[in-house]
Amino acid sequence: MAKLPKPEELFDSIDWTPPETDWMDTPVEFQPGRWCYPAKKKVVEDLGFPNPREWSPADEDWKIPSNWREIVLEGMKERLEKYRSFKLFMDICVRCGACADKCHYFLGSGDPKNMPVLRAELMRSIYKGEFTLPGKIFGRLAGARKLTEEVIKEWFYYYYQCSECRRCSVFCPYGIDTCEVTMMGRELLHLLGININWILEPVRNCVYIGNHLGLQPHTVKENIEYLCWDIEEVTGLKIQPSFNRKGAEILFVAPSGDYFADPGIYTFMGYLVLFEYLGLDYTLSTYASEGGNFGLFTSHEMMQKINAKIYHEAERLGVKFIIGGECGHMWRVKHQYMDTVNGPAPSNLEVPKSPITGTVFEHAKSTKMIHICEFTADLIAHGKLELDPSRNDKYVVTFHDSCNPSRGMGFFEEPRFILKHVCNNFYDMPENTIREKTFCCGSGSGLNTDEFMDMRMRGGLPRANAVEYVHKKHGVNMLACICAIDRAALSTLMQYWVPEVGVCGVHELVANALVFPDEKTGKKKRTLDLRQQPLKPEDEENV
Amino acid sequence: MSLRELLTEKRDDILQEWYKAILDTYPKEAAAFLRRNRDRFENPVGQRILEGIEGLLDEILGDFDEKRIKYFTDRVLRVRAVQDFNPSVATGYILALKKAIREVIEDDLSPELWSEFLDLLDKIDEIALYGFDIYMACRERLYHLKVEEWKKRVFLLLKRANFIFDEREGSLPQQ
Repeated sequence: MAKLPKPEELFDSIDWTPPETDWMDTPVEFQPGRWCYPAKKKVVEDLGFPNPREWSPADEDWKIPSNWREIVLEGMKERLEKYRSFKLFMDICVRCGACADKCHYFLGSGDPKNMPVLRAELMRSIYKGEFTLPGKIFGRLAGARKLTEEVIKEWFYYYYQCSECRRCSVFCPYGIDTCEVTMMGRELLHLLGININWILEPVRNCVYIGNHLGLQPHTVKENIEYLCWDIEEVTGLKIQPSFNRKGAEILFVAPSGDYFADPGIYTFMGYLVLFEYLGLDYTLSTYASEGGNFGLFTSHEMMQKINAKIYHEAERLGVKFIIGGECGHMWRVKHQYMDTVNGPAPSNLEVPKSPITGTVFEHAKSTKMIHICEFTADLIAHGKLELDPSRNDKYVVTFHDSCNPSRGMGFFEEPRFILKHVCNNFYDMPENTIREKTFCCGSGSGLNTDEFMDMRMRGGLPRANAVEYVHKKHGVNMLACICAIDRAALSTLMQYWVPEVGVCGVHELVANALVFPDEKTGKKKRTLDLRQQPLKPEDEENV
Repeated sequence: MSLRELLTEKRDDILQEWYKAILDTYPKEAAAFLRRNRDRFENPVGQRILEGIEGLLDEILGDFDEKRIKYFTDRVLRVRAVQDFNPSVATGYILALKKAIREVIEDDLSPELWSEFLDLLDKIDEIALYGFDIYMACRERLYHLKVEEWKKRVFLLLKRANFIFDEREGSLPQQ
């Protein structure tokens, strides 16, 4: 009979420690839940992108062109010459480690290649090995390596495990923006036909139909009208927004998730209720029916193309200025790129001036486009809104700074100012998890797809962890945010980590609190919120 | 001295051994970070693991309250259920306590403590079984969320077509 091992020996034989190999020698293991599905052949064809084909990252052969090395190196060279920032970021890192523990994906996964410094090094090592003399001579000693197919696979894996949130860049003493390295990585991968469907299909829809979801004009209109019926049930107001109306003063552009997905639709209802209250002269467009811009996660050219339709439509309709809804990356595009890639703005546009308060939004002098939160905050600051914050008393609210408005444009105070006026219970999360140090939802930059669920839950842990803290300390049960991806992704994130907390947009709470003249005189009574739930618990009297 | 007294005296050593065994399941750069940073917001994984194992050890040495044991096990497993681990490795951290305890009290484990020691091992096994339940609940939750997310994504379509059976609010049961 064979000798039975003793428990002690069995225990010792189990080695849970991962192998200690150098990062260059550790190949990527493609495990389900940690990568996104590749773009469909038809979608790639429609967009005129290179190398449309059926393939899967799980396959050994990715069916890339035989001259792939040449294509990538040529692409890199072109971008190093075109973008000085890219060249700088490749050259100046001193590996101080300040960014290493700032990425939410690293914090959640513990995978060293999710440290921003190493994620950039995936590209930097190739830059050194293929473009610099010391790298060519000293090779690994200089942190250089040659471009191989394994590297391409590694790029795909890790550049689609970065949500381009830029938290790491806040801590970099040199200001290296790893997000831009990711952007370059994705652009280079596109040259070989390596991309993900969750980004490219919305891009295709946006280009061909007008919005990420591919809703055709009549559907956009019907959806919004349907929401108006719901508003009527709650408020008694008969709202009839106009579509594609020439001569309106304002063009309002929202992310398409806001008129299709839960809980975004309640935010959209919030916008409509506010505009009705003000009697605003605005119109909605079925052509520029998307505030979001998945082109930003694809290439500079695609970002430009998708963004351009906002100005096209503003020009066609002859509006005076543009208000944009609660969206994340839409604002990064507006703040950092719109002016240079698609400006100057059409000549019919004027510097935005609030028709209610007369405030001139000087900072938007060039783009002629303002954020709905600054518009609303200005109204509140001038006492133009009659608000009853107690209508939101069932909520104890905290605010998630979405990465793009916060780090992309320094937009911190306006949403908080609004929230503090429309609800009585507001508590911020701890200082190192908000404002410019905010943690990403874990699903940004086109990664909010269900096949990526494991990574999203890991990446979202630091955010959820801070929400859990205020939930336990102050009883927070509602997480407000100003981004459509957040509204979708944080709902799922909360359901996993802190199921007691719901998610809403800021303007949903604004509309709940807004007191119409008939409500003030007592002629009408509001008992429901926009979700058609009682404003107050049944045992308390609803106002 | 009873086993409980002995373990209580060596509590911190045991915790340290146990934590080390868990950190060994992560890549070394990550393990170094998890050990180093004590900020609960900047290092949620490390701090949750510490909270979870401290809580469990105190329950084992104290009241062994089922509700609290499940809570502390959940703190760690909810994280490990979405990390790069097989189910056995994810849940195996509970059984690693056995080895940690043996290593710390080996020299003091006299024969009169054996029966108490066997009881202790049974308790850890019991926690491991709770752990399987919690791990599975977390994984099932993820699949549930995938379905739920699709419904939310096309909510207005479903609502307009009268395909929503219940109200959005609360349609997903509390776990």
